[in-house]
Amino acid sequence: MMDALVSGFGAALTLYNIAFIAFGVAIGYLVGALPGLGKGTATAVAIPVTFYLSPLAAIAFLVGISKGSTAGSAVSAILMNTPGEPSSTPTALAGYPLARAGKAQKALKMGLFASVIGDFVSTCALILMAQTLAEYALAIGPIELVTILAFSLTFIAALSGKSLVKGLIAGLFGILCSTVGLEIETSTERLIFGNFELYDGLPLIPVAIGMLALSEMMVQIGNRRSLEEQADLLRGSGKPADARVTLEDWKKSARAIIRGTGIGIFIGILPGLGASTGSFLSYGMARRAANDPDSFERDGAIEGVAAAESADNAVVPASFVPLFALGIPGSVIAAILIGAFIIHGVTPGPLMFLEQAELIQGIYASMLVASLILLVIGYFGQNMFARIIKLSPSLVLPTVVFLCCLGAYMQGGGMFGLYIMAIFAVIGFFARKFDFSFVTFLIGFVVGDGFELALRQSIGLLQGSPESIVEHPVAIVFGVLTILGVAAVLRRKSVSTKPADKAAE
Amino acid sequence: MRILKSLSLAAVAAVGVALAALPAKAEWPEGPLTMLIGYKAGGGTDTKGRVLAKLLGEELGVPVKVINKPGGGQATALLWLKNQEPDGNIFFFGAVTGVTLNPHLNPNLAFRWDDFDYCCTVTEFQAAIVAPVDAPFDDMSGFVAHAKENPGVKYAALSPYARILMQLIAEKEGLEVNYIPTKGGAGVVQLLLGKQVMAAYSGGIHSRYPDRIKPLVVTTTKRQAQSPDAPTLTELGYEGAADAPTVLAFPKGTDAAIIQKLDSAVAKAVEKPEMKDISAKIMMPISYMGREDVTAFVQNSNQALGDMVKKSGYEPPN
Repeated sequence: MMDALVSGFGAALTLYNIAFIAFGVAIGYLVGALPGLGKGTATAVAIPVTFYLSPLAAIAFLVGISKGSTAGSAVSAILMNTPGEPSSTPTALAGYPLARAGKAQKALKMGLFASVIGDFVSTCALILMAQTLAEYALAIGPIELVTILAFSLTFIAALSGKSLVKGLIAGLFGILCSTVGLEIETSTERLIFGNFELYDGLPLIPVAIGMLALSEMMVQIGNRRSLEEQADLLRGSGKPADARVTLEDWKKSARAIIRGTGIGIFIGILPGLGASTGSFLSYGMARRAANDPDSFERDGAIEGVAAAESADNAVVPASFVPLFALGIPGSVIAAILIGAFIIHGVTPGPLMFLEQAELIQGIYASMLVASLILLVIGYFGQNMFARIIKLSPSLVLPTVVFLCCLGAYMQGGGMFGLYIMAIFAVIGFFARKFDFSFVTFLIGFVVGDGFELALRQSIGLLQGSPESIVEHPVAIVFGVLTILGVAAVLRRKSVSTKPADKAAE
Repeated sequence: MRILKSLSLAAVAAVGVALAALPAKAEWPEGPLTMLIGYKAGGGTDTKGRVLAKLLGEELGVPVKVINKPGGGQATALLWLKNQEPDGNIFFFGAVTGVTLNPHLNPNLAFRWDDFDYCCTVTEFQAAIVAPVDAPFDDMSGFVAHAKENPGVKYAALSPYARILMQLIAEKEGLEVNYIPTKGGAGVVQLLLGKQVMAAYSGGIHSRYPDRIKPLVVTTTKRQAQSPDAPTLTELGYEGAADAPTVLAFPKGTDAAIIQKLDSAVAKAVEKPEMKDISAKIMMPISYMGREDVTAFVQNSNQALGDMVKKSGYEPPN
């Protein structure tokens, strides 16, 4: 094992290869940091470019892009309150208030460190235990998945903001939106109103861009004067302690990072969940562990940024576990990479370890190298991006709107994606104005689809005898957690009378 | 205003007539071509399509770009194709069942097999009904015996067709089957390897897991080279067998000379080592059938599958 990895490093550490890893990480970080564009877009566009590279360089390049963009999406979340990808939404919740308090640099750095730690530890888990973890993941069937997803849905309540009812309305609307398209078992059309482009459901990226980024831009454009004033705040307090990560911050965030990394790995190895579920879970648990959870969105919280980013980034390498060991993609990015692997003559799956052992070790080594390069590029890249906040909003806003349109067009099937984005931007705009949580909408939308499938599978698998759930201890654990979570929220909501400040906006 | 509008309409119409009257474009292709794929990027059909697109581009001397329009078992892509100009610049690559089967399952779909012009077939799907390798049976008769002893045996169905196949068997043998829905080949593998189901329909992904998944019966009309011992449904006396090659199709009304030219390019491309390599990698053997025969094949296949759906008693959604 170690010998193989050492020889893998030999293959990976050629100048040629490192150059492509660095190139991939840099492009990924840039694309991730631009609102509207995410790792899905970047990797899908880059695949044809890799036709002409050696298999190892090609895969290392693509893995570099996915790692870079996952970490980069924190930048626009913190600086502009517009997550580069849905999975960075919690980062914006806790990070943007920090930026408004003049601590943008601190939040960005903690985001990067948490990203790199989550990514690195998860990569090590992949290297050391891919085979074991994959077998373990297979034991998590639909029945277990339903309870895990139900547990994620309880965070709708926690993140509802002021009004639980409004949060639930938004969350249920998200679930409703996730049912659009052809129903899974009999292909019955649902809520498509004769529009065949909706057969595959509402496309995630345009919905997320419209709801998260474009609606935020609309709000900001509407408030230009206050925005100019805010820009002064964002420029920083001038205190050095606000521009770096202090020992105090590390103490606050250490637990969040450890927990987030663990959650990210767990969610990553389970096919059918995904980075958003991971970062929302991690954020929600960090919030629950805090003394004053509502301060997260009101004043910002460095441990909230750390929790979301460590989990978000830990999902990516972990989602390669089922991909490498079983040929089953654990995330969108892993699904896109399957195509790239096959084009380069590698079929992901159990045979890959036998037939392509050397290449696998090379990929592993490249992934470790990519983690380190991410730290370097992220650290210096941030200084560059942080200058965005020094620009006038009248320059930044139109650029961001343009990038949003580009992302929706590319990932949403052309003009159709733009229409969807526009519709959800309007919905998002009014959601913000009337204080409906767009975050709980997104949780419902992201989780709803998988929840329905897993629920229907579970009903079939239990064969109408709910008592046979005793054979599924993992499901029972998460079922109990779900009930406790709901109970805790209901109790807190009923005693708390003090209305929290309008926080996230 | 009105006059202006009708004038401009007349002008557009005149241009249209003039264009239609132009002689067949012998110089096709003039610019980049678009290959339309009805699945998400990254799957088996998409991967093969991308390799084919690259080879066709080299053959024809223009870039062939791939766009994905997933949804509804290729229905989104086919509906979109139907509404494109038949100028030869856009063509579809995908499983022929998108046109021969899906309109029978869902009569609401606004297209039928004869809404397209067919160019050729390229590769074959190696579909089968499969079981986990440690299942307590090795063939269909074993499965039937097991299912009789264990009513409610679990079977993963990734599509209405997968469900119909088992319904036909269950009806004939008097089995009680519990259908577990799932999404795509990856979903099937997950349920099989996770021991959640006893059997499943696989479009061909099982051949990547020879030591964990075994075929019970192949659902193509002939036996498959990769599993020569697995009989066909027809041999065992069951209904529903269907061949599902990938096909290249144009919008109806495309110039025959253009289709012929693409057909010739495909005939050369499938002989190239890259194509053979990728076909071996994703276990989708090449099964080329040229322009002369392909339309009749699609028509017959459409007829047979329509009859099968009728016979199964499948009730289409309304």
